[in-house]
Amino acid sequence: MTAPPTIPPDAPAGSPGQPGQPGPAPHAPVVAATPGQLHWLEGELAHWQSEGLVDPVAASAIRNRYVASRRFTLSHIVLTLGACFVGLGLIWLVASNLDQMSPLVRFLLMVVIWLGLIGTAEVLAARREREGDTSSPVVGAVRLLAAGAFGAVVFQAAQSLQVPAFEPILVGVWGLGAVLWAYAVRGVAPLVLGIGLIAFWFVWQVMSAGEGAFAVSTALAAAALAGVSVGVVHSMVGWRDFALPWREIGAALGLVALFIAALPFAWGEAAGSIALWLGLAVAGGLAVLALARGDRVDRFEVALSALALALTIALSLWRFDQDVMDTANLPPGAWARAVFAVVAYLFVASGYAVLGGMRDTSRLTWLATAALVIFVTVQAFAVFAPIVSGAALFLIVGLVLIGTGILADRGRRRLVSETKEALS
Amino acid sequence: MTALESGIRPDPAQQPLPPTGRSRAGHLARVVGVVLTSLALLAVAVWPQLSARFTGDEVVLRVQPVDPIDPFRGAYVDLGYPDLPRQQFDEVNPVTEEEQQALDAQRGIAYVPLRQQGEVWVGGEVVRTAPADGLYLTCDDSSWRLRCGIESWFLPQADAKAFEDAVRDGRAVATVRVDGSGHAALVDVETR
Repeated sequence: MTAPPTIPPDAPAGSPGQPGQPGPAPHAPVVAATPGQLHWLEGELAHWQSEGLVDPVAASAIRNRYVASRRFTLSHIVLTLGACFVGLGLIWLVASNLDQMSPLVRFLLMVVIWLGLIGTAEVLAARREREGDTSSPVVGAVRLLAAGAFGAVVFQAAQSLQVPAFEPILVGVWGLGAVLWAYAVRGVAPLVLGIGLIAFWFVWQVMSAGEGAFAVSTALAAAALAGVSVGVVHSMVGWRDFALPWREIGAALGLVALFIAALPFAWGEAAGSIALWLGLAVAGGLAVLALARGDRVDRFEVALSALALALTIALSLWRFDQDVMDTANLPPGAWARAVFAVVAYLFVASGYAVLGGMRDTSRLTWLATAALVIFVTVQAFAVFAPIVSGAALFLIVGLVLIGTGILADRGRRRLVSETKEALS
Repeated sequence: MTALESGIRPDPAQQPLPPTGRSRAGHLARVVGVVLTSLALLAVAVWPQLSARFTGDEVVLRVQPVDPIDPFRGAYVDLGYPDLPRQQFDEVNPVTEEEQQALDAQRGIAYVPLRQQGEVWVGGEVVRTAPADGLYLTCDDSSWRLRCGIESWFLPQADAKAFEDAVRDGRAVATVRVDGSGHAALVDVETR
């Protein structure tokens, strides 16, 4: 929700909203910032002015480039949920196959609803633009709804033409339409929907070729690498707002892929359809581009995703004759695979948690932490129970994490002391 | 990176104000472009059925039903075609493992020539190159069944079960339009 500029009571003259003060430079974009960020800026500006680093006019110009906005408010959450419900309702309306209307009329009705939502979103956006509201949640919700309504158009068209059921390309077209719409209006919510749909389409397309679990987990990991790489490319070209969904959805897909591959079942051979090999090639190409052009943190992120893909493939191909839960006398191969799976997941999830710290994005850290907890719990109760007790696995993993934390803290203290020495 | 850039970190979910004035027209052009591109993508996705509907010839095929639900598009009757080839599992003339591997390697696009037999049309053996003349179906046999784009008949959920029962005795026929490229669109299913 975009609130009126939030300025602390002791803010110096020139705060936004105060009359007679200079506004932002004519071509400088107004950027939304959280109240906490603005509060920090006010403090820093006061220090800079007292130190003579900036004069009051420059401080005011800097201040006026930012407008207060909260990322998650009740209106954001309620509007987003409402858009999701209405979008699902529209698709359900298609599924109910209202035979009171002809198939063509039903299709045209969906098209009118979709275009109406697009028009409404544009009118609202133009109105908010005139009012200086940079991040209206209402506009965001209507844009998300328009992206959802395009799905209803796609499915209604397919239903009207009796396209066979469970056709993955329909989800792909929906996702592509949502992504195009997102880029045209710089809408984050349609982008999140579009990325999710395209990832879903890719995995479904691979599955529909009748391939096994190897193909599914590898497809997820390839989609993850592609997503992370596209996110890095967005960061490089300055589209930071669009980089985040690509990177975070990519991270989530990578963790899910490794989770599936780590399950101790007799996985398939390296058999895949053209869609899978093509997806791997595209993901590889994007990763090379991101590695070549990204900075140090970007390269770490892409390398982590590539490692998750490699480990997913390795675990998917690591076969043994028995299921772990079928026998008390486990072959050494099953032991080795289970230990390797835990170490691999621990490494990748920890890497994402560290990356969250490096990027200062708590969502990534929480995602990695949640994934690790779920993974260890599932392995302990569903997989490791016949081998060692679940308690033993928790103890081992916990001790490894504590040990890693102590080593990391020792490294941090050494870095601090070296920096102090260098400064002195 | 300046202290301001690293410290203020504008909310990444937000963005600068949209362009104004002259570039507003460019923005609208982009939106219109997206609408048209999305519709074009949709047309590509449903092209076989669209083309067959508008340019195809009509044939009638016997059908037999199964009844599932597509979560996105609702209830439908999954149709089988007893007069189209089912080359996947030939119990009468079993093939050797080598022959089966050779058959599997060929799977992909499958053409089924159609010929009229009384009131209905029947399919001939699957061929791998498009027939030079006559009506044929362009299908895909890379999965467990031959898929010709006419396997689903969507209808209201309340009618699906009754429809399934009505056609279970094998007297149902499907009206299908087939274009010159073998694309097929299911137009109607009725009991006789």
